[in-house]
Amino acid sequence: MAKLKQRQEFSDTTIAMFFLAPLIIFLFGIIIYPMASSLYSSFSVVRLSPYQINFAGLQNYINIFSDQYFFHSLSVTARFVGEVVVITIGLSLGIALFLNEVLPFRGIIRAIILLPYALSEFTTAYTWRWFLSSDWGLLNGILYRLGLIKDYIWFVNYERSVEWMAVAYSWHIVPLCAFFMLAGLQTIPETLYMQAKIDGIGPIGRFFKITLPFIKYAILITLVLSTFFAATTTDIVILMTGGGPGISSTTLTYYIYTVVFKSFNLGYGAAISWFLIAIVLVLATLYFTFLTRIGKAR
Amino acid sequence: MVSVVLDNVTKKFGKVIAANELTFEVKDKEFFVLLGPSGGGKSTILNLVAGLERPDKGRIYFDDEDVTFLAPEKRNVAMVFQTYALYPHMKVFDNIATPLKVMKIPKEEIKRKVKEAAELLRIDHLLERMPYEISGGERQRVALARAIVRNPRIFLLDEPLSNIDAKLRVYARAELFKLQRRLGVTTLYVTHDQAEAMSMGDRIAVINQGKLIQIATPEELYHMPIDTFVGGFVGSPPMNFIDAVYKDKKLVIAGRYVITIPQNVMKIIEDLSLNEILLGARPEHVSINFDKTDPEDIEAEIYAIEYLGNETIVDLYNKDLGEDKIIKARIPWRFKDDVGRKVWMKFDKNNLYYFDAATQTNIFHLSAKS
Ligand SMILES: Nc1ncnc2c1ncn2[C@@H]1O[C@H](COP(=O)(O)OP(=O)(O)O)[C@@H](O)[C@H]1O
Ligand SMILES: [Mg+2]
Repeated sequence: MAKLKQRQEFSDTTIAMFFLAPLIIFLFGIIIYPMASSLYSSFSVVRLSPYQINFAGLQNYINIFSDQYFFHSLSVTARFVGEVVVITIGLSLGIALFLNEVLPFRGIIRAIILLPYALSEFTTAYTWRWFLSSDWGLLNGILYRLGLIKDYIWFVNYERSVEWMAVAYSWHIVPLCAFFMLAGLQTIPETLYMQAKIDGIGPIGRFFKITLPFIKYAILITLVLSTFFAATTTDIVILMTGGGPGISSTTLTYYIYTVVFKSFNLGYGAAISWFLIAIVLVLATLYFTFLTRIGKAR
Repeated sequence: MVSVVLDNVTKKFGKVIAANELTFEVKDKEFFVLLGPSGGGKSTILNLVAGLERPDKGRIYFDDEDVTFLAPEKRNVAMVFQTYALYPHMKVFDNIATPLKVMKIPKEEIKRKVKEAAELLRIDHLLERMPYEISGGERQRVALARAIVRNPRIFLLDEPLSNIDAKLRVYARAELFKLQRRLGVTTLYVTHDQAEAMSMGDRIAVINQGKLIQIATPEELYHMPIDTFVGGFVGSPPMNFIDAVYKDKKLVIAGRYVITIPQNVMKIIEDLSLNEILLGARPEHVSINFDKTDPEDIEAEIYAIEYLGNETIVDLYNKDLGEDKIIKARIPWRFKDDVGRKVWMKFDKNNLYYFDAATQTNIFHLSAKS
């Protein structure tokens, strides 16, 4: 009895804190501190050499509204996000429906389809850059060999650079989204489809009456994920198009990158970042309100 | 008038033969039970009749109409699955109404029919609920309502009572049977529960490993099982089997216990020149005495006692009958004694079953065939 008491000297919470402490310190170091620091910067004018930080109130935020480059990149981001979302949902639903069928070599096919997500954004960007390049690109090479084109095509041009970036980025995240949808599909009992066939519901009716209700959450999650991924990615822009040609594919994140690392305007960059975060949060709220609404209407 | 005929129907899934050259007829208005262990091919038969699967070989007829390749929605059959397969995102009303909506029946008529079916199954107060808001037993009745609402030609019921708790199940059996009689719809009913089959079926088809083993009324099945499989599957606890050898017009067990047998049995064994016989004795036909009252009594030791209230199941053991052979006896009263005590067991001679050890077949069926 006495021994037992001694052992219980530390409460469960204390022990948990002991094990969690390193993680908490770590999280604080890599998330909380930089966040606080950047929030403070957004209200300041920052100079690097010599380092100097002066509080400037809302000035950075006010500047945003008279910055035509900001509005340009905001529209590029909106276009990019919209395209990624549409491509990703369409493709991942299609792939999930296909993978859900009883296929030979099911395991291998699934692994191959998941592959693009296992590649880094870096690899994705370079792969597509090489694939689409106008002077030594693979796609041009193939089309030329097939005799379909006489002259090499400049794919990633002023008008279409955002679209190609959206295709490349979707290619990267579709597998993950497809697997969310596949997970949703696999919760559907086969007997429901059998029952529907006996009841005389055709394939289209079965999709809308059975399949869709079961995967609507997976679709919404895909919608949320692809929106946030696309709205916040920088790597693909830096590595695939460099925001160009010109500034045709300069997204908001890439614009922030240039403001901070090329113009060294840290305070202003931070302000735009927080503005982007605000937009994303508003979107998130809208999505999740919608999600709970359809959840209730179930 | 709807009878269902399967003519030499075979269905394979890869190497598995789920239905193996099945031929039988379900008569009009009959309550026909498919009984057998899990994986035997019962659901496959229902799916074939429903049109959810196509046979690799053979034909299926509803009356004189060949429906072998008819699409499921054109067969006008209703099915109830073990899991009920209610559309989870639709209200109970819409679940029941679905088959009617597909038929493009006017709204008012749908309402009336759904209400009728719901009243018959006493679920009319649940019509506005969602499937996840009602109990298992209620779901089962919703599935039944959806089945009857369309006036189907045939009911196909795949273990519809298996997911109901044991207490309700016996009650649900009677309800379901009454409903079938009232509606007079030809019914194929799948179950792995022999008690369910015996209590409900007009006739029972025993199915194992894709094959039809025996079709019979519950009485025939109990008294004339075609082989040791049926003998062992029907009845609970299952029939005891004891190895015996036919010698000098008698059966000899373990080289020393002699059992005299009826004249007709003796004749069949001799006619077919059988030698090794499996003796079948149902637990209710094994009795226990503390003294030897008959030269044919067999000694045994009480191995275990299971008191069930209205009866007692006593496990008996005699090493000579087999190293790990237990003989179960059903005693219709409270049997109280010490485990390990030596007793004498006696088989009711009028109720023994005789199987040919080589083919595992009932010798009466063998003699009828030859
Ligand atoms: N769609 C299917 N694909 C592959 N094998 C199947 C399929 N349906 C049934 N089987 C196989 O056929 C056999 C019979 O199955 P089933 O008809 O479900 O038996 P039961 O209903 O008697 O339990 C089993 O071995 C099962 O694994
Ligand atoms: Mg089954």
